[in-house]
Amino acid sequence: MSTLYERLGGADAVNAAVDIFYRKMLADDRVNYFFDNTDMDRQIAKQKSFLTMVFGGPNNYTGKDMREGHKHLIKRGLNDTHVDIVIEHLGSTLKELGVPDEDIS
Amino acid sequence: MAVVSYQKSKVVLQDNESVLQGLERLGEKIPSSCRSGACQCCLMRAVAGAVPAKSQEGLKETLKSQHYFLACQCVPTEDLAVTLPADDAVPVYPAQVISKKQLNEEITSIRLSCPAGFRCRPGQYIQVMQDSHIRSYSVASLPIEDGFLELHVRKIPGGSMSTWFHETCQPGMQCSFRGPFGSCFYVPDADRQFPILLVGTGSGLAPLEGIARDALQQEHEGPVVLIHGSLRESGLYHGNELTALQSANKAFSYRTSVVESGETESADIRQFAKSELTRLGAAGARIFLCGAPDLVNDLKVRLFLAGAASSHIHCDPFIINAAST
Repeated sequence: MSTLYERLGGADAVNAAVDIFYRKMLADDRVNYFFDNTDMDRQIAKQKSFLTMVFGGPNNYTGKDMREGHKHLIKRGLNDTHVDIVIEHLGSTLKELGVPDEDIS
Repeated sequence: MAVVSYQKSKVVLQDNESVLQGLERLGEKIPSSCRSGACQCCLMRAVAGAVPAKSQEGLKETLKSQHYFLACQCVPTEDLAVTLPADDAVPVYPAQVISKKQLNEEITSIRLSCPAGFRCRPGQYIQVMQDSHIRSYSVASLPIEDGFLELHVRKIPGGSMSTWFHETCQPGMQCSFRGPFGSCFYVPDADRQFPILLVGTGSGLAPLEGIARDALQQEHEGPVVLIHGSLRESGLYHGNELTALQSANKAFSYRTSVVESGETESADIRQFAKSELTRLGAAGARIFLCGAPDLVNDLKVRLFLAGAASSHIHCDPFIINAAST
């Protein structure tokens, strides 16, 4: 069974996915204020690394675990509603890239 | 088996061993994180030998052309000498001031002789050294074709280097500089058809003018649009030169954005840049942004949201060798 990473088309597909996904996040007033002081290039690099892992690519994601990495944002009001929005944008990004529904879930 | 030299060490790589693994086996500390070619923390540069294409996947074109590569993805077929971006030895060159010309009330053009052996791409920057001071200035000229390095020096009240350039410096005087630095320059593609949008304010015009002229010199075929912004009309400069460049090149358009002009279409440089990008077609465009950091960062996000690919937006000097936190 091939990984979603391979089925998507590897590194190039992840690069495309991160741009689309991050653009959706920055355009959404419900979540974009969390990125106000974020360096765009660094954020995109981190998301590439993370999504490569999520898709089952050849990744050794060594970033902080999600809870630890977002502690400073929880203080600023980050909650489950925001996480749902992230998942919504990730899902519609994958749909745009032609990923079948069963892979998205 | 390929031999990799790094600083004073040499390692013979084993089968399928990456440069990163080889150097770590020697006990070298190379920054790394994802180890799969995504995070770009293990960025290195080859100073001798060719790196495989796979080790440059996902890097900006400007980095590829300077032989940067990802150590974790690099299984070389030939011997390499490599450095970390932070350790790159940067040579120092002597230069003579050839001429000096006031461009507007704040900005002076300084032309320096181009020292033998010095190579840089228009849009990169050099660090001028004078007494104990060092300051960075972008190269606005085409060093080879023009035969000189042109810098646009904005007068900073109380600034030691800009005061030296504006008040003390005279043609014939000597200074020294090191470089080049930076990854904001033109890289041709196979087809040379992609649109280029260059946006800057004040002396941010310097690198943009160099990049635009470089692209035209290399016979770029797609549209090249340069927007120079200022608070008031008197802050613009090189209008005649850029208008002449526009008349001589069908591909090139020179636009200005002046806040005080109140022009509905162009006074707000952020809106103006965005509508120009949309007109050019955001998806394939290469974008260069220079000038005030707040404006550059704001434009970067706006133009990305308007559809520009993140890998095609060039602005600040890259600072990606430190492990991301």
